[in-house]
Amino acid sequence: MTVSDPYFIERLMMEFPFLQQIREYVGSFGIKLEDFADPSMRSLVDVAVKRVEDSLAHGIRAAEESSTSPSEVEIFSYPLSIALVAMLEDDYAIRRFAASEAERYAKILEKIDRSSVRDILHYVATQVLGMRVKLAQPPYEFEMHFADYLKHATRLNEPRWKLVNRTLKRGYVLLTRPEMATLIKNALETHIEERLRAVGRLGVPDFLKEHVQRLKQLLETRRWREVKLGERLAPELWPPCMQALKQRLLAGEAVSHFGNFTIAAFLINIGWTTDEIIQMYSQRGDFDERIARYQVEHIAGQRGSRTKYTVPRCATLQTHGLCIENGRLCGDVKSPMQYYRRQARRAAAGKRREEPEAQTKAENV
Amino acid sequence: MSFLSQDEALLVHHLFKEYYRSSRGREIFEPRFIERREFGYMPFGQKVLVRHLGFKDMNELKRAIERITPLHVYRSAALYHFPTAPMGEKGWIGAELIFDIDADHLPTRCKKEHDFAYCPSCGTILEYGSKTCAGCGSQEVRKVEWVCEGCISAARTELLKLMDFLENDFDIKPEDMVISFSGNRGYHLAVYSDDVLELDRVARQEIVEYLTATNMDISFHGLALRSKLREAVPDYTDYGWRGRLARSAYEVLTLVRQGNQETRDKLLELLSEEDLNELEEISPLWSERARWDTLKTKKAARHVKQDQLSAVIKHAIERSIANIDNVVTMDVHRLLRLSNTLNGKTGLLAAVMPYDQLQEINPFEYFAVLPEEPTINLWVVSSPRFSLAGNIYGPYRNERVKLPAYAAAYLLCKGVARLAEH
Ligand code: SF4
Ligand SMILES: [Zn+2]
Ligand SMILES: [Zn+2]
Repeated sequence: MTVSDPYFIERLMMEFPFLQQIREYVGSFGIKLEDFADPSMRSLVDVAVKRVEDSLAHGIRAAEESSTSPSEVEIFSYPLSIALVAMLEDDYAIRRFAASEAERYAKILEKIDRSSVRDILHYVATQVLGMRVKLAQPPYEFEMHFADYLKHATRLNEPRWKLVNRTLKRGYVLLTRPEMATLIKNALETHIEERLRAVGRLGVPDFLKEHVQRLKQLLETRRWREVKLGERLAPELWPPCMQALKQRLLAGEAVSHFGNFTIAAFLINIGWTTDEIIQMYSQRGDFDERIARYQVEHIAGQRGSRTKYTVPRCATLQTHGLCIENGRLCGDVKSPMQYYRRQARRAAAGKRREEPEAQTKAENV
Repeated sequence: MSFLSQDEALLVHHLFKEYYRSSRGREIFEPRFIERREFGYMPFGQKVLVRHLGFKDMNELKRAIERITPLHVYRSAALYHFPTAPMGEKGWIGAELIFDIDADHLPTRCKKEHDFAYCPSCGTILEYGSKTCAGCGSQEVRKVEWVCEGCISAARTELLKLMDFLENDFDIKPEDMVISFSGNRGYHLAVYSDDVLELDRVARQEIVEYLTATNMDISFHGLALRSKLREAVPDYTDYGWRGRLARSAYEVLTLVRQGNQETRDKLLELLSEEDLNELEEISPLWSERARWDTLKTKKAARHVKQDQLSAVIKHAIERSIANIDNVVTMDVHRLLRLSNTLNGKTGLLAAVMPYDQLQEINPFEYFAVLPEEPTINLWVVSSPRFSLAGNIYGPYRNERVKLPAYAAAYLLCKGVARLAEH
């Protein structure tokens, strides 16, 4: 089976509903949002709502129960699921939905028969994700342009993903098949998030009002649980570098621009609100609320680019002399956030039996 | 700035102004998308960086440079939607991938010989790093970092290694990079292909680590120190670090065999004399392919400082890395000296280097672009021998000399000379 095979394309479309082609495919039946209001569409609406509900409630675990070959109902309901997530107008919902969808596709990819998976991975990478990928000679199967590689591999923490530990062949990183699958999963997640954000605001039609209301409630409960898990770790449990930064700030000591950026990004990522952070800064003598608010909101992604900044990694903090005792106190962590999450898990394990879900893009191989 | 007084600064300012008015002085390098860049400069006379400036086009920029005639001129590696806005509001679009190679960061031996300090109040010459004057006890000691041809050629070696990485591993084309002399101690290289423009800080850090072998785990390149070597060991024609490791290890072995003292000294820090001597016999075995199996591993080494395999690998890596300034490459908002402008630390031109003549061009010979006239009377506190524009000057010590303008500017910029009365 080759990529130009019509059967191949059709199967891909069934399995990857966000593909350009499937939108045309669904589009060719002329479905519009209002059409779902028709009682005969009831089952489609239910499936779409259920999909969103599952992903919000169970995150990536939702993917485990999903079927591998979607029915027509599932395919036609997909655009509605997208629309529903957009109606929630919530970044957390977007990330959660994207993560569970990416996981679902990864599961599907795992199950595709060996003879065609190479073609399919190549197709998804180049045609869906726009990556520069070539087929390679054994023992590798793929080559990915280093710029595309770095976009996705830097989120993966294991040493083997570091560029310095890869073979670079004239601008391309050599990859095995499982490695390629992992990168594709991460890229899919980003891609789906981007697509969801691109949908923008959508008015909620009457026949969906009730559903959207319920999903919003579900989202709040979910968020509350996560926040409770993550947000209120006492500063004594923070990574040493962040404790030190906070103390220096409170003591009114000079903190470099990078240091300010780091602590703000950290606080945002552990769930502090902009106001809480400003509140902390306001204890300093040189506090200027307008500037502080501007900077914090920028880092939080509420302004300008909308890219939410991540906390710099330990290696970066080391370069800037902010790491404490060369990380001796931290065990083997790559970033302060990893340290924090580990502490959070430990704290939660004491209180709650249910295992918290990883917030990072997961690895699978 | 380092002029000894206002008078010296004024004179050099004047020479700079004349230069920027000349036809050569107007050949300032034009960065792509000039209207999307931030510019900045350091004026004569004050130690402040004026930044967040923007220019519509080259003419506007040239006029400003001529009018202001700064000590140093900078431009951003980044492109912004609003280059003149405050930092947080500029709207970052992307940034060139930039590299700074500075002899100051390299462990050259000449540094000890030519760097010094002196006391401006009594003229005593002191050792580099001294805090108080041995002659009069003054605390205002001035440091002087000199640059010799050894320094520049060490920097050039690093530049060539960097380019080998960029061209072969990253497939960056010569037409996608600009290489410049920094005007003082090293080189700048900027890559502006679309491939790299959008790389974020973390991605750039990964590239830095690749070039410097930071966090490298050689087992991913087919070399394991403890266990027996597996089959796919790196060989000469392999891509990336694999091939580099193999070729560099062979070089190390060859140097040992040839009795190269520097290499032997380096290895002796890690190996016993006996283990080192054994290496001499090994290099011929490597002539066709990398015979890693001929090097003793941990288990086999008798006098364990380190085993042969890890010592050779360690040294092979050390020789292969490109010594760049990591912070510069990772900073996506960096201001970088604008090429083909004068460097106020030397009065030399921070000139764009033609790609195919990197090896031949001696910056001290070609880039002393200030005029010969007028000749200037100086009182030189101390200066090692130096060569500029093909002429040799010095050494001078507490003496009065008459020098062509470009050589006088050089010493005045370095703060080791003052104007002498006629
Ligand atoms: S190892 Fe990382 S988390 Fe720990 S102190 Fe250093 S930078 Fe912070
Ligand atoms: Zn003195
Ligand atoms: Zn030197």
